[in-house]
Amino acid sequence: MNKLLLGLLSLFSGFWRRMDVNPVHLRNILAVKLKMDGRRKTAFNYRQSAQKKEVKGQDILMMFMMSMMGLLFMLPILLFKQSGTGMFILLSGWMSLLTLTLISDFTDVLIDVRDNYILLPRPVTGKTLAISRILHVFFYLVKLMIPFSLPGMIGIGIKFGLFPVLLFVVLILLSVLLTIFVVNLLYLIMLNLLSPRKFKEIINYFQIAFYALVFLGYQILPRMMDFRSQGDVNLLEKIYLWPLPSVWLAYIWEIAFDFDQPWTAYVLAGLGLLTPFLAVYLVTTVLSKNFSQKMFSIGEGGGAESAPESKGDLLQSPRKSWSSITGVWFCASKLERAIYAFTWKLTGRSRDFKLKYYPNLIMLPVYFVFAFVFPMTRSESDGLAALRQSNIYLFGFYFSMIILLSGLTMLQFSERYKASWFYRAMPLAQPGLILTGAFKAIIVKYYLPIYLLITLFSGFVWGWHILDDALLALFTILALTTGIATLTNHVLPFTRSWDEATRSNIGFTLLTMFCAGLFGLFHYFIANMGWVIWILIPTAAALFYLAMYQYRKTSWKQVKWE
Amino acid sequence: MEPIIQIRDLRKFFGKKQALYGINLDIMPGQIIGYIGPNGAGKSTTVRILAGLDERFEGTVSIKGIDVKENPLAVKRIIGYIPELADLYDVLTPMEFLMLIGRLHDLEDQQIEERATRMLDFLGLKDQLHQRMDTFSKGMRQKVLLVSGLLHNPEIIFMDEPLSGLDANAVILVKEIILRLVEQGKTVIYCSHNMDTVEKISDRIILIAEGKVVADGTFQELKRNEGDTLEKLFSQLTGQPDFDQLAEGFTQTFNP
Repeated sequence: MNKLLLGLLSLFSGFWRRMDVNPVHLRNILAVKLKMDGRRKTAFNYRQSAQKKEVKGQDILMMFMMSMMGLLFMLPILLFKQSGTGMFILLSGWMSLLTLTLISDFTDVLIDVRDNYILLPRPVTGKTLAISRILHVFFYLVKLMIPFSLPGMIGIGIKFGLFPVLLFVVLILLSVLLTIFVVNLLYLIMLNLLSPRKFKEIINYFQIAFYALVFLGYQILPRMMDFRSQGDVNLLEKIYLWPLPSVWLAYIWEIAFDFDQPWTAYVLAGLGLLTPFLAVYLVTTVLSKNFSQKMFSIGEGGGAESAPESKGDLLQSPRKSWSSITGVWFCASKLERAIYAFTWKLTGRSRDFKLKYYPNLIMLPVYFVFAFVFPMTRSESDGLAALRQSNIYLFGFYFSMIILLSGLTMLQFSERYKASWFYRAMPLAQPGLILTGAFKAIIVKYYLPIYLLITLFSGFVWGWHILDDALLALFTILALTTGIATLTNHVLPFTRSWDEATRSNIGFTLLTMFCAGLFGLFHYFIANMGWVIWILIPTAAALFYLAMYQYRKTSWKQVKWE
Repeated sequence: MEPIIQIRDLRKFFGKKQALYGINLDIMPGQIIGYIGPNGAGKSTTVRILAGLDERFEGTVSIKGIDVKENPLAVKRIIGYIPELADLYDVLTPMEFLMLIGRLHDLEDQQIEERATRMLDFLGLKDQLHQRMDTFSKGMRQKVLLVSGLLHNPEIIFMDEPLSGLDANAVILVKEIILRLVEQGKTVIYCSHNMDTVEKISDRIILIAEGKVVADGTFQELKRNEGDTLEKLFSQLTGQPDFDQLAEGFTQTFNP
């Protein structure tokens, strides 16, 4: 595939020369960049890269996955009576996917400051560099576009004929151009407003938010759409959707089939046709130039002398921080408190940890509401009353254990795992305190707030009599997780590379989930026996204490380094 | 006077490959020991063993009479270790990182804060105390690393290329600090490829090559002629070929 794309590039050598771009340099830079893509971790090849092998069939895997997605997104066009609505859904899905890919997998490429040191000192023109960056992104998207659009082309060809297939291809191409523009614009605005460090942080939060948004979309959109009854609704008529570029492009499709449309449809379709070309112009002239300049500032502006001090950091002495205050409450020894504070801070600032863990924190409560609570309220005529009579809130309590488990598992990994040399260099007699200190930080910082949220929600819906259930479930989960961690989880925090994440302790997770399911089921049956619950609460709390006591006694011999 | 570090028949294997071949050394307190050797000679391996980081070795090593293999924790309490090219948790601020290190050495928070602030102030990092280290230059990180190894006031300090990345002024300052530490009675094991510095500050120089000690003594004792430099001695003792010939060959690549 790469060879084909590079070959196509060479066909336009004359054009590049006229644009003051050196075609040989351009080809060489892109050849290396595409090769680097093949060795980079992405959402599609994470597992393979984790095994540190260059995967030859990687392109094929990616294409297969994109084809599957293309097949899924094609269905609305074929099934809906309003094919314009189907096209809107397909293009919205496609553009979201592209944006997500660009931001999550391609941010490092887009803001690769190594270019400043590797390419900029060479005799390569600025324009060649700028075009190589844009073409790199474009090629990457083309590699996604072809397999994604193939099922759609076949489906549309069968249902509508040849001309709509060509139109579909044009719309997909226009959507790619628009997406590149939107992402570039977003980055440029942020680069102008923020310091390089803040920019990287914001991108990180943007990625987390985007993951959550896509997940929410999966949950909410099907409920909004309700395929069975509203398949013939024309979403393009909804004014609140008009700011979306996918609506503009869908109107081109709509007009191609039926010229008899209101003037607004022609205006929106016009926007769909013109904006991508305007985008190309802006990206290749104004934005790309500024982008490169700003990129250089990211690389050069890294000096601490020029970095503004964070007010929060300056005012926050270590003893006044939340980690220090809660550390005194929950940790018995100095070492445990030190590791507790360290874990608290590092998890909040580690890019990879946040990217992988924070979406769980958002998704879990949302999933509880949409997967368990909403279906119940819709299935009965008096849904809320039926819901209140059920003990469905127990699912929320026990389901929340995923946050604790995933936190405990991800705690082992760090992009700075080599910095864990200090564990060995320090006079630490009891490594169990490192494990418990870190585990307690995860419980207090992440798990308890989410658990409290679920409890509050359940209290409002079911009434405050559920508090005893909440307490029992909490102590059961804590005792269970700590007990199993004592037996199986002896990896010190932040000592392993994220590349090893796929080899994480799946046995630990499965065993804990299985036990939690059993306990949850047991709890479900005794939920109406108040006195039993009140007997079990102190029992579970005592078990939790004992499990923690044992975990604390983990020795150096039990600690796993690899 | 009793040696503060005693090494007897120290051997180290990495799989089948032998890295150290029966090293024997006695190191007296209050000295700067320049521990030098070519890449892969076994310097860092020796230091890691002495610092209690690697217990898989043969022979006996004792620090202040404490057997490193039997009681590495006791050894770690009295030594400071400043590794070469160490990674730091650069999302933390220097103060946060040093707070962690100090607490692991059982220091009181107030003591850590006071010492870290003073030490970093002297090293010119006062304004960066509460800034995250991800924006720090290599030299700034090296200074934080240096403080992390000295914070608990160790008796013996292992330094692996401590001047790496520092600017000229910082190099002078750190060298002076090392000399003052030794005046206070501390022992410094100083590993470096910078022969000039080793020659100037070391009370004793130990040269290791291919896992064996090939020279041991003061610079005055080691040099064979009046005009000798440590750099020259190093080349001779480690059996390096004629550099003039190598450089000539290299530059002739353009004129075959």
